[in-house]
Amino acid sequence: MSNTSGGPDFVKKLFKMLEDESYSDIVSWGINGDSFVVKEIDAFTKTILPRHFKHSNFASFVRQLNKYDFHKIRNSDDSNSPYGEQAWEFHHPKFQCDKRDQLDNIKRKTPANQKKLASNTVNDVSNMTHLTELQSQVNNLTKLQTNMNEHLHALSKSYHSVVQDLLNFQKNMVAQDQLMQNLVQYLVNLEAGNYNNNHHSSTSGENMTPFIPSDQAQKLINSYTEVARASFDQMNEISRRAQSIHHIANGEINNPCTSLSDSNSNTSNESLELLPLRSNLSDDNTGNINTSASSESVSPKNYISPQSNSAASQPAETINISNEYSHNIPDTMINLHPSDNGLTVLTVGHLTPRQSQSSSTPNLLPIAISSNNSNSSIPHIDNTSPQRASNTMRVHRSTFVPAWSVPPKVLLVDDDAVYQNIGSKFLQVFGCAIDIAVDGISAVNKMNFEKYDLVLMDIVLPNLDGVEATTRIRRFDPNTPIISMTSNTTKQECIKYLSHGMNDILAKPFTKANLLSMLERYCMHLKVMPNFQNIPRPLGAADRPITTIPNNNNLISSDLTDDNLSENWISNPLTIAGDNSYPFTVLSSDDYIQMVSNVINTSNSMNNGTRYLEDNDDQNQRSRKKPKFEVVE
Amino acid sequence: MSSTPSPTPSDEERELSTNSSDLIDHETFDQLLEMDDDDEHDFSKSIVWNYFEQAETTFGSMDKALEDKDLEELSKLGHFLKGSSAAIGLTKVKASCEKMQHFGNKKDETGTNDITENDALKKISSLLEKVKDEYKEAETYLKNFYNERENP
Repeated sequence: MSNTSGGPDFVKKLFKMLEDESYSDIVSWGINGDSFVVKEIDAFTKTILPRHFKHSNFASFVRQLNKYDFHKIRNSDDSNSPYGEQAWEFHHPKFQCDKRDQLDNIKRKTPANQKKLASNTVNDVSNMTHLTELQSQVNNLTKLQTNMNEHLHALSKSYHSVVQDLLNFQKNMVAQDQLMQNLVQYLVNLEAGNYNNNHHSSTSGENMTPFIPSDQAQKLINSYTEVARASFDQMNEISRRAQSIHHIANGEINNPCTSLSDSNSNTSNESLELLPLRSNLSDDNTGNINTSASSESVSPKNYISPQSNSAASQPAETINISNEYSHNIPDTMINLHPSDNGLTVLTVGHLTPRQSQSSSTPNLLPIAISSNNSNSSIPHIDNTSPQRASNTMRVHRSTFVPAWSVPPKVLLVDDDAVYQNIGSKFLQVFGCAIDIAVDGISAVNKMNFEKYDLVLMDIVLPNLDGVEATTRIRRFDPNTPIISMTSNTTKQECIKYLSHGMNDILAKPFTKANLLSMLERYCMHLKVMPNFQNIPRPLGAADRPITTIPNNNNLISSDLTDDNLSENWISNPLTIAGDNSYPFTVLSSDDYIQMVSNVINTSNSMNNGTRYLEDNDDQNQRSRKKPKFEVVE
Repeated sequence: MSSTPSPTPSDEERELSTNSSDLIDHETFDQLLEMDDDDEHDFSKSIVWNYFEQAETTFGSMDKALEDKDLEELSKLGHFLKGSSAAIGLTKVKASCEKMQHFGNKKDETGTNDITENDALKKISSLLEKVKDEYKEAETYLKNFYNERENP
């Protein structure tokens, strides 16, 4: 039998084996010739397998057959099996007794397929592992992402607080700078006053004051000599008054200025009237005349006086100092205004514009006396004399001013010069510090840089209207009261204003009374408290009631206010005391802030969200803003 | 200011107060005067003069806006001058400015009903002349007032 065609050896061997008729009892083609039958497995295994396949393992043979895709034909019914019960019949579609040529097509089941299958399963398994891995990776990443987000959030939070701190520091710096400048200015003014006094009285002009070392003073003096000379005439006037004061009180003040207010007296000629009034004071206050005269306290006072013609300009870099000499009348003093708990301010003299303040400083002589109700033991006055610095405006006015502990800082937003002027005037009379913005954008900007106690906001404004400006301000400042000033007070409009974050509506044109009521409503927390012994003070002798300080009936405090000096700057209080028992005392900022926040926490009931500090509803726990600068003599 | 010979102060005062009741809201204006220091009227005068300046400028802008038929601008200008006029207490000027504000919004003088653009422009053009007259009247009154105070 020639091996003409290919095909796997096993299949050929198998075919060859089946061709051998001698095995027909043991193994033969099936009846139909499309299968072969192993009839005697034992004989097949023992005799035929070794002869043809070189082994005697029937199971191996069957396995081989399976590999070539032969299938055992199972007899559904054993009794019908034509080959006996022990016979194994195998079938392959292409393995037929008369179709030898088809043997080539009998292929071993491709190992590749098997491998593929195997590898597929392996792949599946590895894919599964991979998937889980990826899944866990994703989970990890998500987790990481969340962590990062949290971290970022924390970072941005701390960034904000850092920025906040920076801003605070900046304010701090500005405040300190301001204080320093004021101190210097004050000393310089003393120098200048001395200089001029001496110059005037002895024409020597060589005397230096003991306040600052002469070499340093010389520098300052040199720079301010011009100033002093420029105001020489006024200084003469001051000197004259100084001498008259000295006659009365043997005071040591160089830039003397007495203060009195009598709303009934028309002190048109200040220098002439001061003297008799002063004498009256002495008479009424015989027991205290020496103390009250010698304890005239001096405090540099910086006041914002925005002018109509310079409303838009930011007078930030200059300081306007007016030396204010305020007298506090002890409780035994006559009560000039028994019905008022407020402060009566009489300003006398020429007020000169801020721009030329350096030369005007000596002229600015607001004179104030306050008399409080005898039952309200407030020897402490914050003088809030309105200083309208209009060009050589002459102010002779006696007005009632709410007793602010701090002058409220008001931002007036209006593009109308008439309203700017009227508003400023009213607010000044009410003892406020005023800033002006002429449109919505500058209002927003100012709110960004400054802290105000009240904003009066016109609605129709160029660039950005009042409602939109308020919306923007509210994004960073939810608290400062913003009052809509508008002539359009329909219900619908009012709702619009209020819904955009405005607190109240002041109909235009406003009256003095309306404005004042607004001011009192929203700046109530700045009013002087009637009973401030209860209030912690950042002095070294915090627990010592002020009223018991011997020879210190006059405690004048003034607040340094300027456009760039935040009113709520409260740390770093400084106490200057002439008394030995009151050395310079600087309480640490932390302590004071702590103290103040305690006060705030316990008296938050009326908090409008403005600067700080509010009184309790019973008004006994009134707290007050701490003056940044105090003089006790 | 004005060099016209003025009658005696008391006469002038009386005459002005009778004439000016609808021209000027004395309550508002007195409030300004109250803010003055003593007999000098630097403050209120500065306000009033400031107003004059502002009003003249605004009238100029109104003329131009009318020429450009810019109703929106006219409404804005009306609103603006309304505000400052009210602050001084110039009742008539204020009322006219309010009308201009409405006309500019193409509303009738009460601000309730719509009117056409042409109507609005027509109304504004006659209103503008009227308000200028009213302003002149007020200006004369106020200048006389201060002149008389300064030179009794």
